[in-house]
Amino acid sequence: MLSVRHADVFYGRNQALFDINIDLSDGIYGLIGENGAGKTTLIGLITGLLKAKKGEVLWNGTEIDKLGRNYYGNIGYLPQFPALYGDFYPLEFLYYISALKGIKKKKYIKIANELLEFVGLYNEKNKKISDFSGGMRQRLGIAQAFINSPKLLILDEPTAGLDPKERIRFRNIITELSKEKIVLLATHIISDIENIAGEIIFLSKGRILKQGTCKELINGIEGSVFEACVNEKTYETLDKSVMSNVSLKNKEQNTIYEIRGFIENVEGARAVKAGLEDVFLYYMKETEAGEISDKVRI
Amino acid sequence: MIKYEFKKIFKNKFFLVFLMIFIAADMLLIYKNEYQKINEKRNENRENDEEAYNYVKGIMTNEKFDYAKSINPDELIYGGSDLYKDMVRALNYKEEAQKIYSRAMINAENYESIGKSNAVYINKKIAKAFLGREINEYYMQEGVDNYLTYDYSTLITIIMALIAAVVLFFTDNDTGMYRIVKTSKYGQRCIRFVRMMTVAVTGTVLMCFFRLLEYIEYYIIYEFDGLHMPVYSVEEYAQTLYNFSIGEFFVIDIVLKCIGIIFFILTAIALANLIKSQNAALFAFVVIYAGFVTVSLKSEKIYTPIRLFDGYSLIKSTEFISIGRFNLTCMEYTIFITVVLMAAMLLLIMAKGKR
Repeated sequence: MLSVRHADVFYGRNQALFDINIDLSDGIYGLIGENGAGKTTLIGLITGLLKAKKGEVLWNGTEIDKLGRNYYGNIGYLPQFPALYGDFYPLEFLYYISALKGIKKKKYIKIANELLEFVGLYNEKNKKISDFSGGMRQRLGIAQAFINSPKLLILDEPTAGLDPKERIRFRNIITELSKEKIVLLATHIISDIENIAGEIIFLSKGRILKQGTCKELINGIEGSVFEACVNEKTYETLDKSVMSNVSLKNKEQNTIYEIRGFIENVEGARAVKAGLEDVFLYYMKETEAGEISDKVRI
Repeated sequence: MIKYEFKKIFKNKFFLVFLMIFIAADMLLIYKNEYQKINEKRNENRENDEEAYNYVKGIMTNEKFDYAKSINPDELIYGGSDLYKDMVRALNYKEEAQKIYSRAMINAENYESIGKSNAVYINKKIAKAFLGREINEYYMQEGVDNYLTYDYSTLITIIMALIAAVVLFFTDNDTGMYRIVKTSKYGQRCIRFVRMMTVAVTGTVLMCFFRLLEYIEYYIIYEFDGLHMPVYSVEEYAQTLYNFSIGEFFVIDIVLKCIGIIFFILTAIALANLIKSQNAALFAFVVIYAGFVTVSLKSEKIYTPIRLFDGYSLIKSTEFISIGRFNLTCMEYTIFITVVLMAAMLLLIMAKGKR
């Protein structure tokens, strides 16, 4: 089990994470937040790349600093936009990472070949990594993250740069290889984790907004999400920040907006089943409202 | 792991391009400095000169002396040396060595009588070095000192080793690979040690490579002869305290340079660990290197690790440096200081460095 207790992280004088508390046991966790929310910072804290000014990170009850190699032997990490070593061939790269992760040579040759096959790169083994597309690099990055069968798998924006087909493939790979592991999947693309994550952590401006299973989170705002069709004139008058989705339709020379969000006051709005994007928007707005009322009080 | 670290260095385009450029520059420099000059000096009667030398070289006999004496000393032979004078110098060396031995023994006795044990030790060591010295064979040794004092490959090797260090220690930061490396089981101290070893071995191999290349070029120019002869048979090294052969000295010189290279590599890596910015670390290294060079130039009596690149000056020196009860020759002292500093650098590198 991985635990983070009352952690504050600073970049110089700027605080990036505020009093973070999370407990992660076996399962897939989605870490969702807008750009700059602190997802990569939180991952940096968990992986030991960043230090908390206050608080601690525990692995099975022991601080990770004290565990050293014993902790890092359990980690598989795919960072955001992995550059990898362009001059290496994919197998060579996996062998190198295997050696770095302490896997014996006899074992890692077999594993590396199998993983390369599994992520669909075996036929590209004679191509240098510098000649790989973004999606291919991402898949190789996934392979290296899995190579030591880690107990803790951390994937930071793993589907960035992947086309829809590759993203589906990625979700399937994660689901298949994630048994008896803690998987932390950081993304700002909710559809990537909606169907595979057991629990979601919403992060915004360095704070955890909400944490819970998809069902719990969605049920929490059930009845608050509406859809409506409005004309352009009406649309211009509405608060866009409460809308989770807007699509444009042209009907008989009139522009019609199909909108979805917290728009219960819009004429003709009908209640619909909430989704994770709606949940995220809901808690973001709550936080903003809290900040505004704090300012008003001051 | 070390295999892949080597691959990173030798697959790096900058490293390979610079290596090719430096090899070419090194060869051209020697050609310009040595071959062109020597060709100008050598007389037109080269064939006769070679015949004369081939007759007199080897074990010295009276016939050879008479022959050498009969050759006109004003004729330039092999760049200006006078065969007869050289042979006489070689023959007289035994007497000179005996004089030094006797003087040293007398000094030792005198110092013993006044209780100066350090001075006794030093003089006995000098005496032991000069005991039984003689030069029975004659060989043309022009080029030996030129080869030993040729030093450009040291700078080249340091630059190449720095490039290798940058490739291994800084590229991960530039590419973001450090995030994968540092979160691996052996991604902290272990990989730091492996990379340090890789750069040290690369520097050592490059040093040996360049010296060997230079040896080949000097051999082609000067046709080194008599490498089995003791180093004191070379006029510039007549006063040396060491009795190894010229060939052995060539090897020792390479070893000294390799130790020096490893020291400066460790310095660069220690700085890279302490200073986050690559440019600042490089600047600090250049300042330290320049500092060592300046100090060494200012005073021949100050022995810093930079002296290891001037093996010829360490061999020539007859000074002793006392550290407590120990009296070390300049070479021993320089190696000692370098090893102590290297140990300090190693501790600094292996301690928890910057992330």
